Amino acid sequence: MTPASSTATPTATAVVEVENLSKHFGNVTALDRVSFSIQKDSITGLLGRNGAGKTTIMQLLTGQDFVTEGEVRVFGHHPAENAHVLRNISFIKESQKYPDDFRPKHVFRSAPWFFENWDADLAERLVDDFRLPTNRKIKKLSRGQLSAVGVIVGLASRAPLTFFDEPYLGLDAVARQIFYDRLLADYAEHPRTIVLSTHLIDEVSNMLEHVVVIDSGRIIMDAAAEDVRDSATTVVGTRSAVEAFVSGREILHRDALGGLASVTVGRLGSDDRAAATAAGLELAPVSLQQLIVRKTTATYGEAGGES
Amino acid sequence: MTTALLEASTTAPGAFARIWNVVRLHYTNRWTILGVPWMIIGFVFLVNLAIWIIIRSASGGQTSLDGTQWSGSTAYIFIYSIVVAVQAMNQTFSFALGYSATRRDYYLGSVLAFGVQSALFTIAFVLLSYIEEWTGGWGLGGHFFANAYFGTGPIWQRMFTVFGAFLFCFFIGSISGAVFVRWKLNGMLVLMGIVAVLGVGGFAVAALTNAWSAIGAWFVASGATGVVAWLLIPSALAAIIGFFVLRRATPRG
Repeated sequence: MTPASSTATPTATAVVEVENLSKHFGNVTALDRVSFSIQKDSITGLLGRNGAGKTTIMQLLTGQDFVTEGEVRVFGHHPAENAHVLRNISFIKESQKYPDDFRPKHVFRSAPWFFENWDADLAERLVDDFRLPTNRKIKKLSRGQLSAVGVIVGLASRAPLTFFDEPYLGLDAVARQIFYDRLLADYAEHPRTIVLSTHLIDEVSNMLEHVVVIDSGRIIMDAAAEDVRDSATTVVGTRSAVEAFVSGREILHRDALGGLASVTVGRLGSDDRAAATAAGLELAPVSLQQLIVRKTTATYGEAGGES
Repeated sequence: MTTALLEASTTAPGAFARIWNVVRLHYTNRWTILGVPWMIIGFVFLVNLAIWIIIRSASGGQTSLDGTQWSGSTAYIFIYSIVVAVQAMNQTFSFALGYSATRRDYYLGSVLAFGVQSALFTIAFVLLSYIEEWTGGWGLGGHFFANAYFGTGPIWQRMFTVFGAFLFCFFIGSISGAVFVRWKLNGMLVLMGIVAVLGVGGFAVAALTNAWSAIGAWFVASGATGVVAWLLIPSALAAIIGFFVLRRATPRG
């Protein structure tokens, strides 16, 4: 997917603009000339393997770390040490350190001072939903409860630009579902720009409007989620009918069981789809996670070949 | 064009409000910042009190407790203040950046918080020093809050020595903490190395010029007030340098 599809919308509504951003830690290049933009009031997934650079990007966008080269503009300005920009940002990371002997109640007491849009009622409801013991020392909370503290701050802060860096760590499946549900519900009522990095792509794939995939410090995909999902379809039916339909098309994957075949092909236009249905074939979507895994491993294979 | 995205909010906090929010952040957990120090002071005081009672009863009320004015047991709370400042730089810094505070707002807010904390201690210590005098050393002639180092003399002197001493401890702690946050273990080692070199250098100068008696005389002549006045210089230096150290620090785990 080329960046061209992401700049189809006017950049006047871009909340985040990144141009040729590089970050070096000594000899290690964490980010290599990364460029992308994030539109206002959207949910973007920042995806990639471990160590790809997702957290580094978020730290640069929130001014928590410093740029080596390139330009970052958040709300039109460079974010580092800029209080007017930063007060609109909430960055929830799983490695957040809390002062010794702090309890969740201290966190929820102090957060409103830093986030003007803080909704205390929402925070209370979320505390109940996640069953968080507010009077227990943070050191003594379970991994899931610790994540819940971060998630609650991120949701209740209603910051115009909210980053969640792997917020699901430690959350059990029920808690994750609560998080997704509350996030979507609140996003519908109070639209804002949300950037979410996660490994559990399929769990959030319905929520994502835009997808940015990083691998080894480079952007390998920057597209609307719809476009990515449409980039492949699985055609299922009798072997002969399927083979007839897919001949001459880009074939990504084959599967067969007896007389049935299931072949994943590249992008299908609406006429192709009509033709497939007319031929008695079923069309099934390909999961976003599989598409991204495939794209990541394909790029990795190419890069490995080059070096 | 994109500046339109930052709607001018009437509730946007100004610079002082943001700095004050950092002060409030330091005071969020009242137990750590107010409870524990006073528990320490209270405990050390009770230990001293017990010792006075023991001495008095063992000697049948004959021994004068004048010597207790040289007791250094009040040093505990000053050392603890250094520790508090180091902890603040390390943990509260990461936490405040997690709330999207800027380093500048955080540092200025912390400096102000140290000032507030020093002021609170000063008011309490000065009051207690007067109470100690009025009760004749807590009824036993002991010295704790009115001793050879602080707590005697006119009120301005009492306030100045205690305030200055706490400020010094907080800023020594905060620059150590800031160095650690920015440069981690290597930074701490370099800082300790520098302090060691300066210390050995000072010792060498004193020993080679046989200036010990002169140094002793200077301390006696300046008194606690004079020493604290001179300590204001390293305090200010530590405060200023700490700002530049923290400016490029990152809250990496």
